[in-house]
Amino acid sequence: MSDRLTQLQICLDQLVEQFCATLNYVDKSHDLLPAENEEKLIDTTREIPSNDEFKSTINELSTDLILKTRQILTLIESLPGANVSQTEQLLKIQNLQRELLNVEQEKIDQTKKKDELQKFVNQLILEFSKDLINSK
Amino acid sequence: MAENQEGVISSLYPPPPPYVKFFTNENLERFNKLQHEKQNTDKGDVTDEKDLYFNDNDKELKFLIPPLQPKSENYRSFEDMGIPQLYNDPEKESDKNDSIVKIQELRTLLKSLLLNFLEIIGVMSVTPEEFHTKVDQIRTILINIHHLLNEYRPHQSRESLILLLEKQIDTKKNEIQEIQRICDSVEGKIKKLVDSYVDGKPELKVEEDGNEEEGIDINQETEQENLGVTQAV
Repeated sequence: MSDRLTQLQICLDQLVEQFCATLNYVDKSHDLLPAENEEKLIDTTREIPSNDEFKSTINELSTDLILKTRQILTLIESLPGANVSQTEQLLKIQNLQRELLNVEQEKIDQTKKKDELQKFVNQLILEFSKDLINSK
Repeated sequence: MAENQEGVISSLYPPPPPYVKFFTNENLERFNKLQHEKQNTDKGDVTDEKDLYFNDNDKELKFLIPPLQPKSENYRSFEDMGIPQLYNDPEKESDKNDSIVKIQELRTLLKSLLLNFLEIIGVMSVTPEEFHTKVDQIRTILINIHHLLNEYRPHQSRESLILLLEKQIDTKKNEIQEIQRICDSVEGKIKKLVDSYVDGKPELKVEEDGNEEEGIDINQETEQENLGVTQAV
């Protein structure tokens, strides 16, 4: 998954695409209204959806726009580290770095201990089996 | 054009610039040769090298000349590009509020983007020929938003680095604990064995069984330890 900023930028692009789609739909599908004292023109070159259909599609498109906007707002709200300053971040990174080194050292020590124990156990097993063989 | 640029911005990593294709071995060779010739025939005062150097056949070679160093230390700003900056720069002293200000500005910009869309619909239905001013405004807002988002990137990177470090520390601590746990259990078992061998009645049969079992157990455990270590490494 990409990071939130990229997500945000993708969402913005989608929003703009939705803008275009909505404008395009309105442009292509709107009905013609007669001006005063004129007869209503009927454009035969294109198919115009019924009034209800047009309205419901417009509704749908606007709902989509609102949803996308909400998504973007949510993403903006959840941008990481909103109330942390740069100096705080850097300080934290330094501390963590130190801690990581310490933990690494601790792990090396622990592993050494473990290796010694393993040697000891191996020795023990060997001695026991020797004893067993000798006693038989 | 604007849409195209935005598409590039929104991908995780931008594609390499198109002129990388011109950096072929042949072109490099020719470029070096030409430059050499140039230096021999011409002495000094060439201001715009790019135009003087090459004829039309060598257009590709122009891309091989590195661009001049910028004269000032500032990165090009909105004003240089002829795009108004719509948000307030956070004050330098209070970098604590830096990201908060940015988030607020983002929210404002998004809302004005929506409003501008509504307005463009209105404009289109009344005076369609005026659309370009609104489109320009929307473009400016979008460029501003993208710029603001990209300015936020260093902040996010630092935040991800912190998360990464914390995760590493956690895993390492867990590994240490696991190693310790197994060592303790092995030591405990050996102690128990020794105790029963020393204190208890050394019945050979019981001890043998016990030994064998312990032996298998320990082997398994050391294997596990080894696994843990190799995984960690």
